[in-house]
Amino acid sequence: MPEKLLEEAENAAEKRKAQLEKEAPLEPRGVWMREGMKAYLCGTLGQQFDAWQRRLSALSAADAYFSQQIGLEAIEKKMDALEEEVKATLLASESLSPRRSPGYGNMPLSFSGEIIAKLNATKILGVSLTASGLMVPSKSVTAICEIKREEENG
Amino acid sequence: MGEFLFLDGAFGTMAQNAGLLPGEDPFEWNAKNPQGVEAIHKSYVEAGADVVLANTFGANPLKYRGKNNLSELVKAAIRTAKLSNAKRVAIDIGPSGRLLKPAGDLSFKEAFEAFSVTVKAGVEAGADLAFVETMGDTRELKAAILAVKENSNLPIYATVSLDENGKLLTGADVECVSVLLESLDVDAYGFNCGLGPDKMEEFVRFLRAFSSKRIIVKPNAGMPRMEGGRTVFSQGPEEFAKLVLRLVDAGASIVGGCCGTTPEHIKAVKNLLEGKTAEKKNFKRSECVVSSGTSVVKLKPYSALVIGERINPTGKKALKEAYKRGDTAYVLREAVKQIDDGAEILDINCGVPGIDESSTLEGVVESVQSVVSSPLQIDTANAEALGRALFIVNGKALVNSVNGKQESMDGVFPLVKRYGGTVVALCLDENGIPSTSQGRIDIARRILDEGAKYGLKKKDFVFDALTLAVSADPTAAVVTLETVKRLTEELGVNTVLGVSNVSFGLPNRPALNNAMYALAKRAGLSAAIANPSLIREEVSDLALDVLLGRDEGCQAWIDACSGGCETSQSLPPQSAGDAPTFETLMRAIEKGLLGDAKQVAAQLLLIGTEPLKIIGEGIVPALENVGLRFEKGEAFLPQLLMAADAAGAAFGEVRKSLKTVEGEASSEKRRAHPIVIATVKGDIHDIGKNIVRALLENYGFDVIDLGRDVEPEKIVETALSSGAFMIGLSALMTTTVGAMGETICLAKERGVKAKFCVGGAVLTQEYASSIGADYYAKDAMRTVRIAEELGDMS
Repeated sequence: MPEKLLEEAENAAEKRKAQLEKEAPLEPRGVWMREGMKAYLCGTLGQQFDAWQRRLSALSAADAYFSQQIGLEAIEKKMDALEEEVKATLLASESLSPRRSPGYGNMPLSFSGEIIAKLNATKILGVSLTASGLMVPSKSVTAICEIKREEENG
Repeated sequence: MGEFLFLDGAFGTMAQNAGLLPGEDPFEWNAKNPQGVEAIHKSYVEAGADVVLANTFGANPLKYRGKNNLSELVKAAIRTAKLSNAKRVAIDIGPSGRLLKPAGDLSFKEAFEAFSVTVKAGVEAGADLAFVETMGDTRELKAAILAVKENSNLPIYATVSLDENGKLLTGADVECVSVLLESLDVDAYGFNCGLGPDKMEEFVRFLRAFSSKRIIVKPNAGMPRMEGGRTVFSQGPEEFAKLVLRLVDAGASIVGGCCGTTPEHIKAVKNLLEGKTAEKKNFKRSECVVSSGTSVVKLKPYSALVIGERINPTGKKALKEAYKRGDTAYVLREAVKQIDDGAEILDINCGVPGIDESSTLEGVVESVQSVVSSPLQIDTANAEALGRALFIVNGKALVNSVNGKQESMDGVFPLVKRYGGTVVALCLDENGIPSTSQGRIDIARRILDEGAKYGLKKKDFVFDALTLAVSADPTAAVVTLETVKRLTEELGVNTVLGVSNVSFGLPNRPALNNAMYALAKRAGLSAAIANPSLIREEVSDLALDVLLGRDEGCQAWIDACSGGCETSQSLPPQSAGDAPTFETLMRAIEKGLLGDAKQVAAQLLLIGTEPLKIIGEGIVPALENVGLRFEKGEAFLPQLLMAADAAGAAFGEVRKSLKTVEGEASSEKRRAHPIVIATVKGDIHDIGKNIVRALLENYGFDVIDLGRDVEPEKIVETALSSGAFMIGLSALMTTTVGAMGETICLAKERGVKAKFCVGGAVLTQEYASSIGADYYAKDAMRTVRIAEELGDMS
């Protein structure tokens, strides 16, 4: 009995998430530029996604949670797409390392500000930092990819 | 027919050509290279520009990182621009570089103050004009414009930056921008940057339909592309000029250029427009409109749109309580629910004795606008509160209200002139409410005349014909309806009614309200202030008799209702299969089926089940089962939250039947003392906190949710005044967990006895202990357990 119940509960959750996915205002945008052997990337779901999420979370914790998942998946997908755009411009002898974001590994969180400035992302995408250094809109990502030459890889 | 006004072109592009280094702030050139700045301005004046924008685009204290005194640099910029001998020199006011609330953390006041610094310096140095440009958020646009209005008498030009879909970054469209700027009465407005002239054309045509002002265009020289590490733009002077000519045909008469344009571009435009005359005036909008940051609502006779009345504490104990405690969750829920129920505008009233109405109203306006995009009606009799709310509100709000008393008009009209707004005018004056429609019409005319002195026109008003209780005066509804009809037909104005007053003192009020709503709509009503979940167009013969004064003493109505006909609310449908039991309710909750849970709860009540038993034997055990499964790792967060939502919906049904005489939910809370929760200062990510709140509430705790980005002071004060036994703090990032420690420190200093429970993505037990927190909760369920433990001890 509980197993069937668990299954049905899971189905209900999946159904709700799928429904929200259809309603979500998903218009991810991004910019990137290459400078020497580095590519700088910034992507965002914009303010409207945040507004939608705030509205959902006023009434439902489950919806708030699902919208969070939907947002994270969508922004990751956008960043993947930006990476593909960079790859398409590389020479045959060059390759792209996976992207790294400020706040992970040894790259300080504050580096986000520099990437945003470099890409003029405040003007182009509306991405900026709060006084406490958080990136807004909340579903925004900055990242760096290293570009490698084949001879370096041996 | 008039003349064109020529603006200059890009400054940054020219400065780069003259040696500005990548990453160097052009604003610094006012000190470092004034000759360079002057040369650029001169080149534009020589090319034919009438107006130059001084080199102050980056002059904002929130953005400027240099070491010079910002005001001095602004003054130097204006003086330098004047050396160019341009006919007019404008202070150039660009965006602050920060996002305003609710998208970001910058408050409206901070933005206003920052812009004010630039404006004051510009005025002192003798600028002729204020040019607010490249704005991507209506709220920031308003802050900048008010900074000019409050600190100077300069004419104001304003332009926004559109994307290819004609939208701002916030999602606002051209109409929305237009409503705001017309309301703030700027001198000319339009678009700059973002697009080339080719892409701007359709939006200029669109704007022409709304704008009563001259239209400004300052497009980029086409689309940018990278060439050898530099940004270059696609359109040369001739091509650019040809395309700008099309913008002029579309209605623009103040023209210049933005990124990528040069003196050659401006010269080419001027040459091409030689001998042509500009269209002086555009279409004047005669519709009555209100707006928010992203949407516009039109008020039209016979449409009777609903203004949601639920955010008004009169007769609502729970809302009064929420205001007093600073609990935001209650208001946000009411706001979203009313919109879901069909309200198009929301009334906001914070009049509760013993609270600071001004700051409460300000806070509520801000938080409601963070969750819904509909325009608001600011409802207060307190002039200070009205002024402060109109100052910060995003968009053009309804102002509720002015009346025919001189004192009222003297107080309200200047505020509307300053901050914009559409006025709700009550047809009463020093002598009270006239008993005839003629008396009310006369007052309406006087209000219109007085408003005209402030530049307010018919379209800026909505007249309240006033609804009185038909139980006290059988002709009350007839006079009201007649007034609505005459205001609509004779005066050609929009009307509004608070319909529910009509049924005061009578049984089955919703049915009478609905009938009044239907009749008023037919008489011409533009808007009704009502509860959107109850109001609908529906007239019964008996109700008609009451409203038309044909039911003496309302006796037939009272008799018909004495048999217990209380509202005709539809009964919940019986499910085809099983009879409702606690078990079916539990299953619905455990499966996370919100609709089913609600329905079964309603059915249980219908067959006479005791409400408290439904909670104790259906809802709580079901949640407990899911909670246990979650803790054992059998169920996961989505299922737990779906169950919580379903339980919440079932609670909602049960609550309805627990209503007290006052019409408010009696408390089914399990414990006497509340829990205060907040996302700490500096942090605006509150999804986690909201999940915790929902779960705590479902477990019967009384939660005061202070929202996000909350000052330590406010958390401590609320904890003390509410007698909370627990304080929950949330922070997402390493940069904001510091504020947690500060809050705990302050609380200890002030002798707060409540225990602290902290959570958030980057927190650990170790860190929690190091900042003096009593508990660390790894997830929402753990918070519930901690609260239970503490609650049992207290």
